[in-house]
Amino acid sequence: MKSAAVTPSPEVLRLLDRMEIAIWEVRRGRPGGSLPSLHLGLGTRFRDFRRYTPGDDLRYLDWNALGRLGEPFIKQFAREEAGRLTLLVDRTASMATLPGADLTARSVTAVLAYTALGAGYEVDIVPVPLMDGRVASPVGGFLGRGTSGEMFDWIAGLTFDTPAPLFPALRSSVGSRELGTATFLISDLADADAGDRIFRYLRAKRCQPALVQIEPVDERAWLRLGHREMIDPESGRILSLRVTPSVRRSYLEQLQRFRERVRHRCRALGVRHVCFPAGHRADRTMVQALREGGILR
Amino acid sequence: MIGVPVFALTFRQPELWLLALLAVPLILAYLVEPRRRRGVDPFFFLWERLARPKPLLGRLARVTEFLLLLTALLLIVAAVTDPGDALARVKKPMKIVAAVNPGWSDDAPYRSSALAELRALLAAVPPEETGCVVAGSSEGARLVVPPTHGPLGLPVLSGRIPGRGARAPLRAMVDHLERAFPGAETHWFDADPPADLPSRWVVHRLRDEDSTPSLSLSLRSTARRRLAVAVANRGGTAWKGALVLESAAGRRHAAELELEGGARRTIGLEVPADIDGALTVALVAAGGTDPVARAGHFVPRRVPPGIVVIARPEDSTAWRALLATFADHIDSERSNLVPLEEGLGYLEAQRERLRPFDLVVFQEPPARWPDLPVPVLLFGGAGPLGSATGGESRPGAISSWEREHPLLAGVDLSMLVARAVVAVKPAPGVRVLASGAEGPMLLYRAGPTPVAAFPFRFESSNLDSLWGFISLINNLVKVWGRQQPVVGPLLVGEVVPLPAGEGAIRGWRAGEKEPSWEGHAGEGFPFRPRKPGRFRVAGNGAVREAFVNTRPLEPASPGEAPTAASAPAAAAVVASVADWRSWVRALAWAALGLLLIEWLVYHRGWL
Repeated sequence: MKSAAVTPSPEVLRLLDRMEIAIWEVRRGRPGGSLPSLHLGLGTRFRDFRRYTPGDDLRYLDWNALGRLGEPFIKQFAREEAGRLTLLVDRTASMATLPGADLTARSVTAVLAYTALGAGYEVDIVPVPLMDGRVASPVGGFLGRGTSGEMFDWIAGLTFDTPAPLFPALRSSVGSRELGTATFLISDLADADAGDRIFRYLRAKRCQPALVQIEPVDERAWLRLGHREMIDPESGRILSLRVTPSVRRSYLEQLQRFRERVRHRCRALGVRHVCFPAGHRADRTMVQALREGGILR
Repeated sequence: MIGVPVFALTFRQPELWLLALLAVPLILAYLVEPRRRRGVDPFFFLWERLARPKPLLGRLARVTEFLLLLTALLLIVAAVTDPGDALARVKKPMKIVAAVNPGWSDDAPYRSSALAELRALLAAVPPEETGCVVAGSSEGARLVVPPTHGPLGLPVLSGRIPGRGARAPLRAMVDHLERAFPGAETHWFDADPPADLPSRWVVHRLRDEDSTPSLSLSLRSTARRRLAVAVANRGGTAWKGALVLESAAGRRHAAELELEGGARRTIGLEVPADIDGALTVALVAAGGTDPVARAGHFVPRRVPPGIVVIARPEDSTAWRALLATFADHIDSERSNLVPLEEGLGYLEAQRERLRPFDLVVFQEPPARWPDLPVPVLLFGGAGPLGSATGGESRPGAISSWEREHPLLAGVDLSMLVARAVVAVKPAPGVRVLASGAEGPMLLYRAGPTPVAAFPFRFESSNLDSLWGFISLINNLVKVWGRQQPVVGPLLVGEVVPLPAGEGAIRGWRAGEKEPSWEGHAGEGFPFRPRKPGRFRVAGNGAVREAFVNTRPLEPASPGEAPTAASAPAAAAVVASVADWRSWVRALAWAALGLLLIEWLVYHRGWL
């Protein structure tokens, strides 16, 4: 795919220039940023007091406390660092069976990565699964606005046809890799219980996860009546059945129930959740949806 | 009366069983394994949940659907083949009367005498045991209307039983006759009925009459009191004569007529206002007196009621205004305003002219209560409905009245005031329809000759200025007027007009022991027979008869020539043409039910 198909329009890029990733605190960042981190140091955000010890910079002495209590106290501030964003892009075979899902996944990845780069973040884009057959795909690492073009090309080069179950693939892709404070999963989440396990896994990694879910536009495309053989894109298993109106209705009810369950689990685990229909390109509505979903600000 | 113990189904159109071949593609579609389309679904795990093993019936769903469809198809095919003749006969073992006369034909002058013979025949057979009557002649057979039409339906013959190629049920009827009468022609005219004839068949041999018909006549009612008279001259020579109307009112000339040989003509005829009831239209040749062709019709008797007001001359203005108000609804000839002192004498003199649904209004109680066969409205006292208590007459108004009573429907009596209300005590059985502080203000006794009484004088009240009074009189005329005798046959589901105020009323269907309907003292009580037959309705006053049919009377269709094929079949006929419909309906409903189940199985996932 050409990077032009992935690159947001200039209008959207101008919009993204004014935005940043919605995280409030950096767990372990890179010096030189503007986000308060867990470490103490030079910064503007007050964190705590400590008793004065000789040699401390008197500029941070709290004169009011000294006047009231008669003892000297030094003010401590959070160190300002640059954030780090990890984008886990689902490229399992199910994404290839949804028409337009790969385009939407690329577009969302490009929007988020561009915004993060603009805010001084270090951006890692991890394909899930990492392994394509026996060949490991590279992880995209980008830093600085100047790498945007390279980043768009890298995203355009992603392939979405690797059959694999989602959760094991994600776990092996992440491995011992250190995830960014903000870690977003971009996936169709077409797995019975992968979502729940993934969210728990990411929470255990002490990052602030978010889910950008890509949904089919019209499920009826594969719901035509008659005798059908359904194929699992991940495992290749085949299921013979007869699709009647009642079976079709049951399928749609179960699909709806599954979506409700994903939403419910996201709320319960504090995972920000945004849905896009497959085929959605990077445009103002996508940016708006990401803002409303608490992923951009 | 013995039913034929046949339990095998027969089919009027057995050739339509070929439609059952439609089942072949259905079976093939079931046997041939359909090609399965492949599809990749990212939400494969949902299909796995849906395809979990189901109970035995679920696994058999496909064969169940197939069997349901197959059964529905067979039921539909069975329905279109018109089954059920034999079983229907077992269910309705009624006699079938065949009236045979080889000299009969539709043409004059035979037709009139044939009708007379048929009328006598029909009077002789019990209608509740007779399924139908067939009039057979050398030319063909005619199905006479079922006896439930009563004597009114007798002059009207239904269509001629057609030969092959005609409508299937009737053709099947002819086939049936042929099977019932082997060698029908021989037995029909030359010999006694066959010895093995089922006991339910009754053959009446009527006298032969040799005549050469040339004219035929048929009637069709185009509007109320308007007839279309179709006259056909089948002879080769011209005919000249007149149309004559024969009724209870006498015989009168209607129109001159001249017809060429082979010509047909339809003449519009308005029934004169004074003719009602049975009417015969006859063709009389010029210079002759005997009719050469006749056709019967029944003009519903709708004689409006008359109102006789016996009042003081000084109050006549208000009463005249009242009569003028009802001029369109009452019979002006029998309505009159009579001075008070001449009232009883007038009623005595007119007693024979009074009809049971006329209304007599007394402005004051008469010196003696006349024995009148009509409803009476009385002012100034209770008359036979009660007795005065002897107290002083006082001013009064109506405080409450029975708004639901048919006589007071839509009548507002709240503004009524009277200067001198007589205190009365109602007699036993008398109903108080309205009352005020001073006691009863309107008394009512139902019965064959209902009486309503206001215990105050008309001129001492403001009744004449109340619209409610006009409504009240209108209700009296309408409700009491329904005592008119039953006219004409009714259709199933129509309301039988019941006499007003006759107390408990019971209705029987002829031939049944238990009353099929029972009601009490209901003016306008809707008695709607749900099945055809002859009904007897008994109240306190009298027993009335109602003839209820499934379809309205239709005059004979003119000019339908007999066919040679139908002639041998001129014997006798079926129990009830309607029986086959019930079979077809049952099969069709069953098929519909199966298709519904199949739809539920397919669309709702039953089983």
